[in-house]
Amino acid sequence: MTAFRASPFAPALVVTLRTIAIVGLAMVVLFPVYWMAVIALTPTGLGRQVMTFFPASPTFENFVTLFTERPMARWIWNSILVATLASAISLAFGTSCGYALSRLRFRGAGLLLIAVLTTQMMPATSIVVPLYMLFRAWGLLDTMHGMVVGHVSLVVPLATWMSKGFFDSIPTDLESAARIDGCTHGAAFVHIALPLAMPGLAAIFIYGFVTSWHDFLFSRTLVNSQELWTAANGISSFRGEYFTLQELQMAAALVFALPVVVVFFVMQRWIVSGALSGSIR
Amino acid sequence: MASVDFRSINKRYDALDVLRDVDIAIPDGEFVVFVGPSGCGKSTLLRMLAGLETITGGTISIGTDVVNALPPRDRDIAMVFQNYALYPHMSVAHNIGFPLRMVGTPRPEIERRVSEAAEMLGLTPYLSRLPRELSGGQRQRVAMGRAVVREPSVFLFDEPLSNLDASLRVRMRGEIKRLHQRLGTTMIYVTHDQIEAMTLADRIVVLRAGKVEQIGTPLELYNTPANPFVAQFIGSPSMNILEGVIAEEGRARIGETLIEIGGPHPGFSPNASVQIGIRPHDIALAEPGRGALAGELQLIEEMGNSRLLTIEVGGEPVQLETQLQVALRPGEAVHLALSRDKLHLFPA
Repeated sequence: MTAFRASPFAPALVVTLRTIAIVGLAMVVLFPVYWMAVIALTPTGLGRQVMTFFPASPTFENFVTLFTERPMARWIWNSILVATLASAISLAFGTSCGYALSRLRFRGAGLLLIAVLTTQMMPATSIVVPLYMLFRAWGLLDTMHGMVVGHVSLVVPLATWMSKGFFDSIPTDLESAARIDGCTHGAAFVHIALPLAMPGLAAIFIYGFVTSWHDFLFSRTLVNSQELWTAANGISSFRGEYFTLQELQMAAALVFALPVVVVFFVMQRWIVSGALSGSIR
Repeated sequence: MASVDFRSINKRYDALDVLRDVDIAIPDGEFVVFVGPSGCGKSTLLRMLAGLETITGGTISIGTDVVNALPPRDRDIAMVFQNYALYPHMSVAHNIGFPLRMVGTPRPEIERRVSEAAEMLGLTPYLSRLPRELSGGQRQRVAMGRAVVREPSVFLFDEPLSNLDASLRVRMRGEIKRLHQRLGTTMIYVTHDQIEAMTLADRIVVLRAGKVEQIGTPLELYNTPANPFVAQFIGSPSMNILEGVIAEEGRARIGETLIEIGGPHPGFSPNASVQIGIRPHDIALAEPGRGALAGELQLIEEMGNSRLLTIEVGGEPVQLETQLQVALRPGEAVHLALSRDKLHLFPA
């Protein structure tokens, strides 16, 4: 970063150009979000007629419509349910697998890790059809728990790898000490390894939540009934074959973005660096 | 308080023999140091006793119980790790009290014993700090506090001082020794540092390549080493070993020089090759003449109270420690007299 810090001797022109470049870049990145808000605040049906950069007569009617005439609350709730369950299950599963892979020495551990990673390399598009057939055979199609299972399959491989990485960074001597100090293997995991891996687990939870929250492909494929749709699916429903309700869609997209921000802010306090320092040496 | 008994201990990793037929009996209350170069198996032996490594063959007993199949928490031991292994998310008080909490000791009892241990180790002002807020020596003390507070029957130390700077190491060494004198509990201490071994131990176990080379008190090891390895490992600067041949009764030949070896030395027949060991301070500079080894002075290292000379004799370096402060220059021809009563003879 030091290379980019403006030194007191840098010519004013360079500083000015640099500032303009940064502001320009920020505007390019943020403008779509801003435009989303502008359209969402425009009266329904008038989105295409906005001529300025500001909504002429801002209104919240789109948001009201979303929650009164459309089942937006239901979709958001579904999304929260699916994303929370999927990331929690992935976290529990990935953490135990990752811990085992980090601590136990057994034949084929390396191969297993590669195999887990390989599943992550598969594009979701290529597994969605086999998954559909499996789910049809098991009667999981068009169910909430089916969708949770689908999302777990998306998140678990990386969750396993990430948690293995976090546990690898915790010295095994800490758990050895705990076992001498009266812990079973399990108690050493709960009292020592788990609290120390907390920042990593928070990161995994966020990753799982966001992955599941953003998923459109699985929820579109595995679920039909409108009352089971997730919000991602719901947003797409404003786009018809001949006509798109842009104002409603943008309002829904704004509502859709909020919970992820909330989850991130709640979880980020766990993501602190230096949790391990002082344990050894 | 308990004795510890290693019987025919073997340890094998895949095709690698780490320990072979190790037999060590440690009576109750003794301070025993396992010493040896890296990779000799000393830490493995300690970790097997702690229950952190499986035992390939043989039995380990603590007191009267064979502990081979017992998990670490049931062995009634405490261990101080080389890297301290403090729990970074717990305060000093919680670190020290952790073993007590795990066995369900009542809270007032925990508080009493933690403050006792902290008092003993000078940690009272730091009880609410986290390990990362402590210096190396303080962390070391916390690790010791966590061991002491349990009142175990055996203490294990795995190179506990190797991460400290030299002066702190000497101070902590004294504290560990005092701790043993105060508690009288059996202690097993692993180190690669022979000075630590000499200063701390009631008895030393010298290990090399997974085998016990010699067991004895520090002075036994120093005065009567069983073989050239122990002879050179114990004592600093280390013992010189010269190749020679037994010439006649009471004499041996090193190169062309006949030296007095005293005797009799049973087991050494004339014309047998022999390794002659002598400590650097048992060699003196001498006038040329009978029984004096001729050599060339190569290196002079001043140590203040004495100086260490490295002299090439017959192509081999020989070290000599002297308090003579005469003027010497590298390259000079010198003659060495070996003190007859201080020679150690080993079969070659």
